[in-house]
Amino acid sequence: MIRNERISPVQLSFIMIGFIFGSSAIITPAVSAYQDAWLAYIIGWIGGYILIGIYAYISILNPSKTFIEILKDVFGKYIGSIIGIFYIWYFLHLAGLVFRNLGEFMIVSIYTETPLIFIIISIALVLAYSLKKGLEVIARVGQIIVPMMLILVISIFLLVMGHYEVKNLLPFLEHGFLKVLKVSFSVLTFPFGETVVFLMIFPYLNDKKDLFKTSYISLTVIGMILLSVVMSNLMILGADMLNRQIFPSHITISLIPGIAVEPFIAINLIIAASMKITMCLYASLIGIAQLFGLDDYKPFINPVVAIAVVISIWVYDSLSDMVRWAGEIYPYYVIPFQIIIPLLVLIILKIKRRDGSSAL
Amino acid sequence: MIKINKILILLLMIIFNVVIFTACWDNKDLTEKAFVTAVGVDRTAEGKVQLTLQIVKPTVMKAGEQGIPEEEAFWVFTTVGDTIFEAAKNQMTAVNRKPFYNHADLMVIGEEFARDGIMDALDFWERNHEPRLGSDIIIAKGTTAEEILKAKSDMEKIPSLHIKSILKNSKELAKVKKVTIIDVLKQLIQPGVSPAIGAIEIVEKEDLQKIEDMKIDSTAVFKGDKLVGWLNAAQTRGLLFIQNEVRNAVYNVDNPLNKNKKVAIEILDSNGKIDAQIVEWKLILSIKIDAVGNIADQQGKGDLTTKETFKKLSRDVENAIKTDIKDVLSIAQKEYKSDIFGFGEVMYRRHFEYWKQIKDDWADIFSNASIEIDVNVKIRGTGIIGKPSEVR
Amino acid sequence: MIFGLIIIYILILIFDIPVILKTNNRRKTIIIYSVLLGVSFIISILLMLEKMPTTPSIVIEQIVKTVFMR
Repeated sequence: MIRNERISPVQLSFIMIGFIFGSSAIITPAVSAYQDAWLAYIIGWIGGYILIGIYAYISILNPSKTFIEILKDVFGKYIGSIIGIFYIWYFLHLAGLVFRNLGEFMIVSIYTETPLIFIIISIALVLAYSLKKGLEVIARVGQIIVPMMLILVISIFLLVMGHYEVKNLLPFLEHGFLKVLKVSFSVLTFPFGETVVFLMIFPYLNDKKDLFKTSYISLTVIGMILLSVVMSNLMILGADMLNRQIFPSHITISLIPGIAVEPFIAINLIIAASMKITMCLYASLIGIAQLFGLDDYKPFINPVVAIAVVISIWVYDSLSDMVRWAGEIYPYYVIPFQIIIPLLVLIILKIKRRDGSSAL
Repeated sequence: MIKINKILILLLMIIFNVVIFTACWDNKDLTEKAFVTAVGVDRTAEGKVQLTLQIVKPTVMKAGEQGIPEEEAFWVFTTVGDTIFEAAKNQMTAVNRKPFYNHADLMVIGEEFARDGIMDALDFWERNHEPRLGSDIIIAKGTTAEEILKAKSDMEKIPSLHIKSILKNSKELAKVKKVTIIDVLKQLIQPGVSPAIGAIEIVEKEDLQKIEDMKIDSTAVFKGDKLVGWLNAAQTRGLLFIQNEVRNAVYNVDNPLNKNKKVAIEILDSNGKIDAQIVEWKLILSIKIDAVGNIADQQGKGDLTTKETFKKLSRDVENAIKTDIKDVLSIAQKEYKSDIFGFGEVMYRRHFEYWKQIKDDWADIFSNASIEIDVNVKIRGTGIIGKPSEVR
Repeated sequence: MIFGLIIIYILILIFDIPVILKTNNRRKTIIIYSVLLGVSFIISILLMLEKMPTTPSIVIEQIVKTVFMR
């Protein structure tokens, strides 16, 4: 295994919490369900438990192997490697997408005249440095900044509670339950299914038997927090405005009288998105190193970060394009990565187990 | 070699961060920005948009604390354009600094503009990230927003703050309808309700207009986003009762023991609810008001602290409130045919299937609907004395 | 601007050459490194010159559309 690093369950759960919060802090597909956004969200969240369960189980069956190694085991060296390359592409692509989300939010709400690339590069430099330091350092930093982020989010949530109007949740199911289901599928893939990235990180947990517990606790914590964010925005802004605003949290926050709370969401976003991007890049780095049989990923940090930055600029021309693509295309694009291949891997693993033990 | 490398990189990062975070890309000194405190939108005779900005003079604000300058603390600039955004850009030619809208907490819309539809003005406000959606909005009745924004105030250096504090006390006066821009936006988007916005008017045209001389006690009624009419003070009060926005109000009723004298009843708290029910395919709209009151001022002699007098007083107040409510209901239904109360919204939220069928005819159905009114006032006390002092 | 871009990439190279020299499988590392850095360099140059190659978003969109026959 690369770089004998170990992280504790607490560190892993903070990383996962930050990761899942990711860019969902400011954009979530649930808003397409208008006033039933909360229901679509909950359904997607429950699906998240199933998906993470699959990923955790795969990792428990192969405790010290990362996903790339598992792929090579399950599908053979050549096919496994090819699938691995596709996954590395997905991790890089995801990192670029989150970079773009982060940058766009910054320039829309705060740095209105700064060029996008400048903000992205500034953050990329920091992340490249953290990658150089390794997973343990990232985990330790996460232990400090993710709780900070959680406290900020909860405080903001409490501050806006006075403006809630429960009537904004009615009429229930105006557009039908089918639409809610469709939207919940989008919620499932963004952000919950993206935890497939952790299949590259789980092997570094020092005690594998805590894996299920850690993952489920993290999912529960962050799920509740995201749900409260969605519901706050819905109950304050109303279904229509929630859907039309590109960054609803920003408007909700601006209604708090007195101090300017807007910078705080920016802070939360930076923390969460950085966690997510770092993990995606780390996963792709480990993947590259393992795919080609090298023993350290260190030389590749800069090019990989550069690729992520380039991807972030390359992918869309405009903000509305980003929102549309993320809502309509992304859920389908990731089905093979988040659902099909992991399921296949799990099935084949179970079959091999059965054959393996009976052959003994 | 390694040590030097590390120190160099560290230094570079520190410098980099310091440079980034102290000078934003579009950094502008405070003195280079023009702080807008109020925005006025009017329609010109040629059909263009006229934008008026009330801008603070920070230097005069500071100087005022020491001496007594005769100068006003604000400028007023007016520009014209085909769209609000264009007019806003044209402000740069008059103002030598870039307008900064983040503290613009008041929007005044001229009557002419409002009759054409206020959605255009609100789109500008909503789309740009600087103006705050929590700002107040009022309509200039019988005059232009420009006139209102030019007026001075003796109580506040910045007149728009004076207007805002009057609006802020609206719940204590029950005389004016205070709304924020986001409230209006939500009402415009919402099927089944039209906005009602507080209005300000000039009593007498003078050379030096003062805010103190203006009346802020009427309400502008909208149908969709177009202005269709006005509510007077009593009707406004009725509206506020229905919309649960009364924290304090005063009613004068006859002294039951002394017919020519009045007793002032102070309403301390009021709870207003509207409802729409469907009973056997018939639409029943209802309003329920629960209020608590005190005897605040008693003219004339007599011990009013008996159960019967309390009952009579509360019934009188109930009838007075009912009259206001009936007044506003009838003008909204018959004359304006606009549901500013939100009965349609209740239908949309709670009886969606029914609403789907009638939503296109709601204006008609609403204007012909009969509305049940139930008002309950409980008189709680008489202040800290019981019987009034007697002249012997 | 292009000049700045080239400088950035050269800086990256300068930072990384000592790291590459330290690794064990030098040849493999150099090959993969060049591929990765080269790809990002080429794409960023193309982006700067505004000769944008097809965005992966569009490619993925086409694939998704054909697969799901919308």
